[in-house]
Amino acid sequence: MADKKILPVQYPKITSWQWHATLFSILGDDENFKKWVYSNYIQLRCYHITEIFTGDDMLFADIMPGSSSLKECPYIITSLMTKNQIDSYCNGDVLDFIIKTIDMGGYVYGVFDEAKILCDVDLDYKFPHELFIYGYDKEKKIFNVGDFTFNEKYAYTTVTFEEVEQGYNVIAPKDDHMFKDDYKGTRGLYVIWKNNETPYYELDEKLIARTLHEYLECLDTKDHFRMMRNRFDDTIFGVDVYDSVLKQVEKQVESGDFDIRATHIMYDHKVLMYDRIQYLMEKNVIPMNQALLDEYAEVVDDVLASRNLVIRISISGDTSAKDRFAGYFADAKKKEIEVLSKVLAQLEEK
Amino acid sequence: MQRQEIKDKLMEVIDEDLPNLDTQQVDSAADLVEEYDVNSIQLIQLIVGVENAFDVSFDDRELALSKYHSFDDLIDKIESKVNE
Repeated sequence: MADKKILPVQYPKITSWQWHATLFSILGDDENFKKWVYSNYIQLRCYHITEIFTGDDMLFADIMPGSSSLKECPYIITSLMTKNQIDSYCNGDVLDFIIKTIDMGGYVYGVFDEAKILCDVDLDYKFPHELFIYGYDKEKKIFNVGDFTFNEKYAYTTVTFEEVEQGYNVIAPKDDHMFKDDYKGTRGLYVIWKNNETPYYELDEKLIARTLHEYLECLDTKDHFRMMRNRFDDTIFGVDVYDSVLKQVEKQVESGDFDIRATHIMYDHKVLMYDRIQYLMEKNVIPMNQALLDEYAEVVDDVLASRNLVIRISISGDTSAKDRFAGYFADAKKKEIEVLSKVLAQLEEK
Repeated sequence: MQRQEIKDKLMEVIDEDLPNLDTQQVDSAADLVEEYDVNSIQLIQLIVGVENAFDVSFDDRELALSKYHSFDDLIDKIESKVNE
């Protein structure tokens, strides 16, 4: 057993949610992975939930396949390890389990109480959050981790063995939203193996066209996945997400209680969509058209300006700026529909 | 307003808005992200401070972290605004 090992990671292109940041950290700009990402990660969806930490109403927006990406991406092998298995394999020693997993080349991902990591003192308060662990140093007694919690943005940093152990031990099944989302009714960790040596998935032009159509027409893409989960009529899809996010931002401006996560996922969605269009052009799937790319770059700029404006309002308190937000969103939505309709028409002509 | 004057005043704003940064040690030509780990929220906080301190205004598109590789870039921007 080594004293120190750090598995390779690459700062992720999209960082909105921990599951995306983890997947992109592991696979980076792998060419096989790109074919899967550009065939997926097209549909946007949102719905209201109760924020697990504050109890506030939250608009939860994400790019499909959402957190399922960590189980469905063909270029990783993900094992769902229950706490009972972990206890059994390593005599209840989670640190031993994590170190052995890393020694074998496996990344570890799971819900830990990060209140135990952020504060030295004992608190009667939990902050259950997913932590991505990709390395360790036995001499310094630290793990290398990726997370949003410690630096206002996604960052690679270190946490001590003791913090990880404490953060793991206090999590109850009801706190483990990762396993709860999978309807597993227990708790545990994901062990993730990189599996990108062999190409398993080609760019799926039909899927891209179908999902772009569903995005533009705001259709229920989850309906294709009824085998996995029952459907509820609670979700907004496609370009209608602009309107839902706008309403939520207007509420936030009124209340003074800001949350930029929905606008940030919108921005990440546009960044990925720009890359996808460029990729389709470079691979001659659709004709090269710099003017079309430049038009879409304006969409990216508008959405970035709107996200930054929300941050500005939250800092300055200047609520009169909120009309500009609506303007950026209206422009972005109109331009995006124009560009993606052209891309879709070209894909359907083939 | 002279460039050095702008730089000194900017350091006062940094002292206020980015207290983790030691302005005595700041290299204004160094990379904001690589060297000082500045993120988008911190940059916008700094720009709001700059707007108040220098009585200038930044367009929403001038808030993007990618527009500034170093504090020198921010000084350039402030210089062009105060001397408009």
